[in-house]
Parts: sequence; structure tokens; C-alpha cells
Amino acid sequence: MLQLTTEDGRTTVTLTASRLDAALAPFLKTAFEERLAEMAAEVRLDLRHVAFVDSAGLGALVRCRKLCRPGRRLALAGLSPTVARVLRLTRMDRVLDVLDDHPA
Amino acid sequence: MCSTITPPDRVAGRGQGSRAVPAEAASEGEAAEPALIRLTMPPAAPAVGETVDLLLDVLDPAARGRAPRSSGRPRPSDELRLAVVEALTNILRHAGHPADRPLHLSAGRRGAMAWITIEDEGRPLPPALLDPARPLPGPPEPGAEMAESPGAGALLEALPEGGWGWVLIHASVDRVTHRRSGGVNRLRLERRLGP
Repeated sequence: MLQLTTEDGRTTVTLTASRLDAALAPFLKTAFEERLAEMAAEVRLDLRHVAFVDSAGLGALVRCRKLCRPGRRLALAGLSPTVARVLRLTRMDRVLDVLDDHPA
Repeated sequence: MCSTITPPDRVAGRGQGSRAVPAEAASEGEAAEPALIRLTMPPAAPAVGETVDLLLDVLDPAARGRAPRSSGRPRPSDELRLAVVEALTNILRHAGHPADRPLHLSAGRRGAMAWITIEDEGRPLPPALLDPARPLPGPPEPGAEMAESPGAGALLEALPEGGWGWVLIHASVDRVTHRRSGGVNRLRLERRLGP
């Protein structure tokens, strides 16, 4: 579910699942915690393959953020409009670092 | 995990003569709205995604095979997808629906408006959830300063990891109605689809 690559002090964690929902959320939390030790101080969680996130999925993303503290910073990248909307409606876009990496 | 599909009782708009009103629609006093699909779903989280995919495929077949949008606003069918997934997940987590009984779903169209009903045999749905103005969970103003600072740890740990489901439902559909009879909750979500 998670593919990690580390380069120049930053680990990119790519979530390979396309649907981050209540069925998958527990596994994301577990997998992220299990591989935390492999991650550099700066972590980018790449969601480019994720077409759908619901409130359970969002909760897992928050948990990943919490797991990164102390000592690491987490940012989300590759958010589709559907996923970005969920963060916006819940106001969690103010709290989770989201990289604006959409082409103009 | 398989859902069980039963053919609709009546086929809408095909000119097949008299069209009996489904019993439950008549008792609600609504105009007859034959379903495009009725199905049952095992009450388990892994069944939700594929069940909702199936419903949306019936409601909006034009969306089949369409690439997700890379920018701009999500499509109406994507917003409806979120609402139905959230509603089902909420039922599975909170309603106390019996684990050995399926959920009953149906869906149809009335012109541009798509509707989905979900029936569960759990506890009565708390009326407060139907209030679109119900506040978001978590601290009232998530702090902008989530960077590392002395107080940031406490702020971070206080972040909610759930409770957003009904906020997302209300923001994603045009109408939410609920009624309960005979120990069954029936939740109905409506959303205009189309360009």
C-alpha cells in the first residue's frame, strides 16, 4: 500500500490505493506507523493515485500527521479536486500541510 | 464481497401500460418513483465502495469510463458518491444495525435529480444529524501555526480523527430526508446530476 523513496533528506510516501475509505483507513494507519522509522525528517505523502477520500480516510491522514510528530514534518501532495474538497469542507486544509502541485 | 441485486419492480418510462405504485412510495404520499435498482449489501465496510460504485453506475452511466477531473470542482456524481459512502459508513459504525442482516438500498432518477435510499434496522437516527447547520468537530478555529512551536504538540493531538461524516453529507447533496417505521430507518439522499 505504501511505496517509500528517500532522496535529499525527504521521503516520498506514495499511497498506491485509489480509494482511501473506512475499509482501508485502519491499514494506512498501521502501515504508516510500521514504516515510520524508514522516513526522513521531511515526509511527503503523495496521493496522486487516490481518487476518493472520505471522513475515515481523512482521519487516517490526520493520524499520519500525528505520528510524524515529534521530529518529522508531513505534507500532502497530489490531491485531486475530490480529495481537496473533503479537506476544505472539514477545514482540515488549514491544519494539514497541502502542497499546491497542480499544473496551472 | 457480493451485493445482491433484485430487478426493479417497475421499469420507469418505458410505456409498458399500467404502472403500479410501489407500496412504500404510496404510504409516504410521494409520487410513484420506480427504482432503477434495488439491492442488498452485507453490513461490512469492505462492501461499501463497490456497492456505491454500482449505484452510481446505474444513476449516471455517462460517467462510466470518464477520467477523474484533474482540476476544478468535483462532478455532482462524485459528490453524491461521497455522501452515500459517508451515510453507509455511519450506519455501519453507529446505528447498531444487526451484523447478520443486510442493508437495503434503492436508487433512481427523476429527471436530473438522482435519489438513493438506505434502510437499516439500527437505532433511531438522531434528529440532530439532519440539521445542516450542525457544527464541525474539533477546535473552533484550527490554528494556523501548526509549525513546530511549544504549544503545537497539544494542538496537534487535539485534532479530530473523525466526526465529519454528516458535514460532508449535507455539503454534497441537495436534500436529506429520513423516516422511521417498523424499526427501520429509511434515509434518502437526493442530488441533481448533470453538467
